[in-house]
Amino acid sequence: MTALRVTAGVLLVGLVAVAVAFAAQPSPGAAQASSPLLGKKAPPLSGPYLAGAHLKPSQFRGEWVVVNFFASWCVDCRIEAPALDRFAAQHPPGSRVAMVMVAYADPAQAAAGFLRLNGGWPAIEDPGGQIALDWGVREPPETFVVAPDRRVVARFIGPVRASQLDAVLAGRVS
Amino acid sequence: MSRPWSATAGRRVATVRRASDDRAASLGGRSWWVPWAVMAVVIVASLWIGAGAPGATGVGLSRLTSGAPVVRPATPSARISHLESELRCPSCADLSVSQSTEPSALAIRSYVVHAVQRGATDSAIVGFLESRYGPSILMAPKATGPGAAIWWVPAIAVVGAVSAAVLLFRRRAASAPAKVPSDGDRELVRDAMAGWDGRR
Repeated sequence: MTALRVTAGVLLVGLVAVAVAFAAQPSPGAAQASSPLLGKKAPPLSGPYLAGAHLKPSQFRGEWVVVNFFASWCVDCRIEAPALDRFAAQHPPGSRVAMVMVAYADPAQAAAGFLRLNGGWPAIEDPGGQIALDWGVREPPETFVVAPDRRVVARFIGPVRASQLDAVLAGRVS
Repeated sequence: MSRPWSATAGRRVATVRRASDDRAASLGGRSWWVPWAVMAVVIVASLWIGAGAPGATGVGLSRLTSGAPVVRPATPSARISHLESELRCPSCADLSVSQSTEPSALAIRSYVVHAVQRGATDSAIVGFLESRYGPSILMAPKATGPGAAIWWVPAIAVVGAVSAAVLLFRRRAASAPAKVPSDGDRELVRDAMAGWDGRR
């Protein structure tokens, strides 16, 4: 009877230890995903700024561009926002790294509200979802990294971490 | 006067045995494969007709993507419906864009409508979407390239399973003991029948 109790106790402690180990693991972040666009020229990225101006494809010549598809209704986008904020702070304007947000199936007012709360990054509207279609986006958040030569070099599905973006840039930026 | 039961029963047994022997002879001869052949023909014909029927997604798409001749729907709206039924909603588990109201599906629907109105061909439309989302945008996998495995692997599995079953049954039939009753069997039956007659 005592042996049975000891065995049950050991099993219980083991289960609790495994559960704690899983719970304590850091979030794995976004999954780097394949895309038919990888290694190919980035699709055009132009549209009305949520702030009112207009984004032109020529605007980011010679810069790395991080393109993030987001929506105010997307929970993972809220989870991701602090990481993007950190990344934007590490790469201020003039650092050869630009960030462009694309509102995915989101009314302009709601998307602008999301950006006001989570970070004032440059963002454009995508009425009709044709920019997302051009980039092969399935659902937000999705993040692409475009090299200065306009080739798409990485795609992340889910909430991306600043360290994941930095790793892509570190491997590529000379 | 009625015949004794044993005589009637004996005749019945003899009749059944003759019929059984005839069937065995027939199956043991060259005609054993006829029912199997008929069944195979029926299955293949059903699959062929079913896959080629209007609205059958698999063949429609494989034809569309393999470049084989396609019977095109007559009107632009029929073309749009046909295309929408063959494209997968990118953010759904297993729905076509025509069945989904997800934003990604709506965007593809809008693209298809505009592309058809522009005069783009079906293969151009599918090709563009494949260049963005990959082959998974197609409801049915391609019949060419690595994706073709999804078509030929099950076919090979079925042929292999049927062949294995045929071999197994043949081997069992060959190793089964002869069905001709031995003298001991006959004696046992004779004794049993005599006992039965005695009771009556």
